[in-house]
Amino acid sequence: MKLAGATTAVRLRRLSALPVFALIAVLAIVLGVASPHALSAQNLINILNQQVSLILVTVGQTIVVLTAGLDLSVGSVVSLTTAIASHGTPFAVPLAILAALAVGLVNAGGILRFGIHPILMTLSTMTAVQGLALLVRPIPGGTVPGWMKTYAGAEILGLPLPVICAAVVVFLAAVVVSRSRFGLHLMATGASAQSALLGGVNTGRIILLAYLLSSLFACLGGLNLAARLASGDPLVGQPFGIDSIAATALGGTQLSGGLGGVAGPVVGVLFLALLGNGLNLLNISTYYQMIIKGVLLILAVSAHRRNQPGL
Amino acid sequence: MLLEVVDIAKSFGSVQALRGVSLALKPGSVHAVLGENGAGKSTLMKIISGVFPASSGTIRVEGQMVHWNRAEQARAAGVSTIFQEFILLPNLSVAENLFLGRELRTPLGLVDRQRQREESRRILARVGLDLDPDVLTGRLRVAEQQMVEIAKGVMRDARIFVFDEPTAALGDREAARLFDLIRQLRAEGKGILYISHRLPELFELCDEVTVLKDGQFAGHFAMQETTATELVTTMVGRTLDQLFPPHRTGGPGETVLELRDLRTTGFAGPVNLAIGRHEIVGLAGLEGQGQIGITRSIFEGHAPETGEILFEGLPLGHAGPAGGVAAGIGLIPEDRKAEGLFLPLSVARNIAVGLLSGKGLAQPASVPAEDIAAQIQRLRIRLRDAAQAISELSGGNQQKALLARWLVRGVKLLICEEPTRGVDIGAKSEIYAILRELADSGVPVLITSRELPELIGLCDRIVVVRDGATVGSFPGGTSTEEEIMAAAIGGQRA
Repeated sequence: MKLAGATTAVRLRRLSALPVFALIAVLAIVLGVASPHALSAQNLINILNQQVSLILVTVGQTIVVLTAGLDLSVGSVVSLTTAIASHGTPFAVPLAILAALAVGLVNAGGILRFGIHPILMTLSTMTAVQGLALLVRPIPGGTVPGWMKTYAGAEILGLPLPVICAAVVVFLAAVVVSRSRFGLHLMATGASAQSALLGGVNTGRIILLAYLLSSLFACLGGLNLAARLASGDPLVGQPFGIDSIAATALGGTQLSGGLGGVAGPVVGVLFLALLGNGLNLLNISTYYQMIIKGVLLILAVSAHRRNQPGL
Repeated sequence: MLLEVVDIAKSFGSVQALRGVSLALKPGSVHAVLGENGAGKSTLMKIISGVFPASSGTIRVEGQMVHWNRAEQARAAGVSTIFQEFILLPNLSVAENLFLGRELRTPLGLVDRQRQREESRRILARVGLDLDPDVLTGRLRVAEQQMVEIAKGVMRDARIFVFDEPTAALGDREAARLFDLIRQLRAEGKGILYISHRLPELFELCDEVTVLKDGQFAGHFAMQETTATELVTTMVGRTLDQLFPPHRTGGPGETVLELRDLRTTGFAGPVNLAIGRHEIVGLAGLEGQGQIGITRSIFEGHAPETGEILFEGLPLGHAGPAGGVAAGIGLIPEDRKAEGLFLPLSVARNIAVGLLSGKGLAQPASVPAEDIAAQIQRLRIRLRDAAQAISELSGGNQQKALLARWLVRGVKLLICEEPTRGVDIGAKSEIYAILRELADSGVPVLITSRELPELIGLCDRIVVVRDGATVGSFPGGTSTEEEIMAAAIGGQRA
């Protein structure tokens, strides 16, 4: 870990998010010059509001990645959540949360008990849960409880309520990851589960909690999305798996585990969103946008110079 | 007695690593555990530190019987082990490592960094370490990491400290500091188990010594009443003579391989070395002095920084291991599992790999059953059948299979890094005999080894490497460990 010569552990973790902060600053300047509308308060608030779901999912993803795991099933959990929540029964929301926790439990169980690689385990649940979502709601539709619609439309001091809620959740998650015992144990487990275990960390419990939290955050993301759409859609979550991983990596969280934080990945989500929005405002075709995003992702991720190649 | 180990036995599959070893550790004493590699020292230490349980026998701590299955249990009972591979987490700070699993917390439930920092300073000072507790553990030097491990034991009020070859990676001054610290622990009434095969430091530091040989108790002495000779005899015993085949009486034969003024990357060099047709030549030296750089330069044909390699009179001009194989060189790598074997594949396929090199990609990967069976028989590889996965074989039989890989191909030079690492004593002597047979038949053998007795017993000539340079040459058989060691250390330590 050569990150700019950081010598203290805390500084190293902070520095890991530095590149994405620099990137978003550069992007903001470029967009500000190129298109005056891009940095208007209204546009920024819109972007934030659109990204709340992905931000929540990414927070969960980051927690799993810190343990050197990966959760591909988050997208399916988002879809399933919207599918269940839009069913109009009184227990729809608690049911969606329980379903999500069950997915997390299965993921952690397969990984811990049977030693299945996280990618394979969550790829399997991703597929199965996608099927479940389609069973629950074969085509988009239904309606969510009234309070969810109210939540999605509410504003406080000109800020959408979902944005405020997400900010609170992100803040709490950041504190837990960087300051709590749990956060420290996430990083210990990610660096070397064997050493962490010998050092007195209950690694099994940490990994179980990580996958439960990841599913729970995906569920929160799904609830937020259902509230925005006011309905359910069994395929709406599909991009969330890959997007959350991209944002996590972009935010400086090492995919091999043990290093990172919550702030970087959240800024990673915003960077990708701002980039797409700016390219739209500049009238660049979606096809070119995809190419540009791909190339930028490689550049951004390679900015994290580390001892080991890759992430 | 602080710690009593009674009649401990441990087997791994069919390998009996320990047979009835007993040991008693008094409080306020440093107790050495001495033995050759493979004598069972590390296995014993791992049982005492709870890494795995013994197959039979009892352990008592202050008279209480204990049963440990996990390291945490041993630690809770006051046993602190400083393993050769550290278990500190490189991505955490020193304070975070010290308090891992028992973090101090603020009223809000968060980690109390300030208090941990202060406590850490206090504990580090107790072991004489002046370190910033916030510093990233991965940035520390090996010696410092070791001290942090010890600090962790001190902090948890351990009563028994186990050191597994702690000076292997230390310089002189660092080792002296470690000894001071160990004496301090002794003065505080702790019991210390100290594993090493460096005799001088045992005499300097230890009060008594238990010697193990081939997994068995071989002797117990008070340090003041014994001599180095007595310890070595007890440790090595009669086996030394019987272990090795007789040295060659004839000459080395014409030169097959010659290294001239070779400098390998990262080392000062130069290497000058010639190996005759019927010779077994050993490379000796301290850990990581460029021995592997030399063997790999020959086999993989990296362009040396300077100098040249002549093989059968012609410069070696290949790039990559495939070229080395094509030239008629075989390599048995140091790390058998990572670099040598295809663990899930059968023994037969692992041997047949020797025949693959040089074949087109579309040609069949033949596994000639008869040739392979002949090698298995010749090398006395003990297995159920050749289709068995090689991972199921013991270390010695795996090593023989790697030998078979090159024998079935027929090589003109065999390079063997650490030929008997993790190999039990019986297979050792068989491997030595095969290597001698090869040299007699005109296939010279170049070996590297960390074990001087092995080099002295097996090789015709021992070439000492220091900082990538050949600094001395000793005849096998008649040289002593001391003179080779002196050359290997040079002016650095002495």
